[in-house]
Amino acid sequence: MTTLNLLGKACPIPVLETRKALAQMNAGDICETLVDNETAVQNLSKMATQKNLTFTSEQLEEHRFSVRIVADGVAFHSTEEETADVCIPCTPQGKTVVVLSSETMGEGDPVLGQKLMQGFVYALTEQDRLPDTILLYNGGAKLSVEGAATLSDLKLMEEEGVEILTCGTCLNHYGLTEKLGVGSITNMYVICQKMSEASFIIKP
Amino acid sequence: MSRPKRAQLLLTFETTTDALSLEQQACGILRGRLIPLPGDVAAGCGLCWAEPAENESSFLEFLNTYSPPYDRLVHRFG
Repeated sequence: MTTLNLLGKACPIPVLETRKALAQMNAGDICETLVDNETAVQNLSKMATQKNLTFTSEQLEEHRFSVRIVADGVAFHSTEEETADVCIPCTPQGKTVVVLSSETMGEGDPVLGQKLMQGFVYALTEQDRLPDTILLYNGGAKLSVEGAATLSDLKLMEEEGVEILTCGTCLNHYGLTEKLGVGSITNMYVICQKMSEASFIIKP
Repeated sequence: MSRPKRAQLLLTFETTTDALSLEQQACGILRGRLIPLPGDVAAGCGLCWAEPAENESSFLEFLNTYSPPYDRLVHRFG
């Protein structure tokens, strides 16, 4: 069995390297590829399925997956275009902006909505890739002020480099300007610019 | 980089009402908080109470004292 340690490598590298290895192997040989994310597992599985190759995958531990593919002895003659077609990007490209425009998430029971929003902000802190910017406006401005249940999570993300921007007009409207607890105050031009330049906007 | 992982005690619930009720009871007593139920833990309600593991004795005392309705108590590193 040949083992390829591709931990820390983003797609399409695991797919390219695995194809290269399989191309050198005889029918029945096993190529084990170690990767650190589920997207790479999906990409390798998709490649094996497309080529009718037998494969298994398992999670060995956190951020450590093994994909074993049985070679069929037929060399791969893939082009980069084919590989790109197989691959889902491991990480989104470009800037991600999260927009919090309300202190609640969804419509219905406002108490539940508050808990859902608090849960959303908490869940953001657990994502492998944090957003580049979080914009808070209108009711969302209440999430970044002293006493807000979401404040510690926003502070944690700011410490990790996330830009936290709260609408100054909104803080003023709610009488919360002096209570801002994280990040900085912004205006509509910056809000508009950040959203315009974002590749992904997440709005719960 | 995401939030550092740590040892936790998760208290799961059958209903959201139970989760919200415990949050009110625990206010000012416990150090934990309601969080979304992690994907590897099953429960009827999508919210759970996450208490730092180092506060286990106080947490168990709280549960004995107040007997809040809950589903399971799970030790988890996450």
